[in-house]
Amino acid sequence: MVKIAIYGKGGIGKSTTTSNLSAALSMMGYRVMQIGCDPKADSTKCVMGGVKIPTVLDQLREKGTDGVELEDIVFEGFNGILCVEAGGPTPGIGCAGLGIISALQKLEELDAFEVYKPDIVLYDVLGDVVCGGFAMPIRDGYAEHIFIVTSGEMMALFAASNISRAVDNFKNRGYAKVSGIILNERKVENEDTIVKQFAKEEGHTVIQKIRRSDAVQRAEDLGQTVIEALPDADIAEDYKECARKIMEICEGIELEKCV
Amino acid sequence: MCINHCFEKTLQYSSPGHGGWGIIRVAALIPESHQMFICPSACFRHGALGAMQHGYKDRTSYLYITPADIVSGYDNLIMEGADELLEKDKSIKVLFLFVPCMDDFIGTDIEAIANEVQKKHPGIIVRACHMNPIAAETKKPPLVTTMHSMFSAIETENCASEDAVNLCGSFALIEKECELSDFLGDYGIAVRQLGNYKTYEEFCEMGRSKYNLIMRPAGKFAAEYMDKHYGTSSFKYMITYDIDELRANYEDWAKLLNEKHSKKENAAFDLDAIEKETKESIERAVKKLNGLPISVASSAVLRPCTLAKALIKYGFTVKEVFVQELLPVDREAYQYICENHPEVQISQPRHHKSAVRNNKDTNMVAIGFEGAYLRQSDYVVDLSGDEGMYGYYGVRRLMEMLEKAVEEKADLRKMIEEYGAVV
Repeated sequence: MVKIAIYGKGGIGKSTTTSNLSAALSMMGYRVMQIGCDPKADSTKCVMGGVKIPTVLDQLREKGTDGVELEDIVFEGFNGILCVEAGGPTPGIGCAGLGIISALQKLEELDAFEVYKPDIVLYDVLGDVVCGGFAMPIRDGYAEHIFIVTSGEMMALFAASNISRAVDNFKNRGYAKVSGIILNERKVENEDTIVKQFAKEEGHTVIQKIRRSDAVQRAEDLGQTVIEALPDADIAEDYKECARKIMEICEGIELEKCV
Repeated sequence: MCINHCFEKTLQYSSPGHGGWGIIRVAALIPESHQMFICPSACFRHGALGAMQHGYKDRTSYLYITPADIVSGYDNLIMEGADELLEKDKSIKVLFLFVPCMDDFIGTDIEAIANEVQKKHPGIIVRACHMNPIAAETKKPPLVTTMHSMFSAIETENCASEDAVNLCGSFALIEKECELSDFLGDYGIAVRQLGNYKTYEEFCEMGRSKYNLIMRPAGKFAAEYMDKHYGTSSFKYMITYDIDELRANYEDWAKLLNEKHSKKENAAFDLDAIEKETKESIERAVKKLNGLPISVASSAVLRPCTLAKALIKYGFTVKEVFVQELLPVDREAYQYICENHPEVQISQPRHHKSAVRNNKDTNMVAIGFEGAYLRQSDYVVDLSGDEGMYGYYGVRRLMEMLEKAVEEKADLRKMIEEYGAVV
């Protein structure tokens, strides 16, 4: 099982990227589980046909700690992708980090990976590694690989740098490592050069550029990923290529075998 | 009859009779171990007092965390604190790092920190522990996870290679007079229990045992850990005082052992003779109590309803059962009592309504401090947490304790103080 965490600044396109990667990987024949770790709980929306699924925290609140079963929190979306949303507190109160901790612990307690046996688990994690809860997906036993989504915008790079530093702080603990940067194009001047330079300074590699395209918006309007709605779009190729490279990095799998 | 709306989750009343082995006392069973509590200064005070009461003051340390530390994160402080402690006390072989509920909330990865400390101090075993009452009603309450950490501290070669059974889930020593030693001894199998070891090295022999016996649910997680990591196999025959259940357990266990072990020719374990002796002790106690009402509390035994059912079957008069939370292993007996003995009151000792009492009739014998305190019973059996009890031996000891208890009125306060119960 390959476990991957996707990090990046809020609004940079992590959920779009993650959903399209899930879809591309599922089309390659893998059984994929996507776990949204964001209180907004909309990571998997486009995999689920535009429908927001009940979150783990919602179900814990409604059914109590002992009353929640896997079928209450794991839902099958496009091409058999298993979708989970951690959920979070009411805005302004509670603790979002603790929400992620509770949700991931519940999945572990219910042996979700043993029951569903996914080949690939993708954690889509909100924003920066601002507290212990947001570091949870990269701890020992969770994700092994981190891919950071960024554009050439200064704030996105700043967040990416923070994530990279946080991971570096934990290097003695057997936590996940940063395995690459995904450039989500925003049409910033000299964007390719800026991001490549950033990656070099941080000791990482830009594994794929996702070109800016209105296909993303058109697909999202349909409640779908680009892979599902517009599989022939140029950007769909970018996602597929990115998925192939991710598997190469994580498992060293020869591409042809997966297609 | 259920009073206090049985098994409601309400504000809890904690009486002076409530309590048993605290986490510190349990973890201190690992010889040459030390416990470091990392917490705000208001946490663990009760545990600290309990530790002093039981003589473990020199085996516990406290690293206080301030609000500023919580905001900034304090992984480095834990590591520095552990370094300082291990530098000062070279006798420590096992270090338990305890964190409170707060660390569940803020996501401290204490397991990773413990690994880092261990790497830095070769030769010392460092394990993470959670003293988190917020997990009390989950599948992994503090006692269960602490026992897991304790047994995961074993480092030995030749795991699961010796004919021995580790007793899991019970803390007080079970005496050699218990027929368990003879039963297993007939197959050449030794009994190993935590309280028997003086050094860490000796304790590690538990990792070389082939088997575990889960005596109480608290030991299940630890036994599963050993099965997975050391290759042991676990039997589950919980503590019971029902002689029919005991016979069935021993017969079942013997069948399993016969598959892999040969039995000695001159066997020491004689099931019929032990059962006869036990029945005689039951008859004596029934005669002596002569209908005196009995209460059974969950502070005394793991399965109070099962004990109450057995006592009724033996001919005793059971008046009340105090049970805070009905365990699956006690459910059948609970249903039996509800259906067949509506005269038996079943109540939650820690329900808030238990704080208001009108005890008109105190002429009864209470098994366990919690029920004794709530009803101010004249006679008390000072049994707590099935300590030292197993098999027919446990039944006979309980009968002796009942007979002794009714000889004179109890000084409950003195009994509780001497026992040193920790909530």
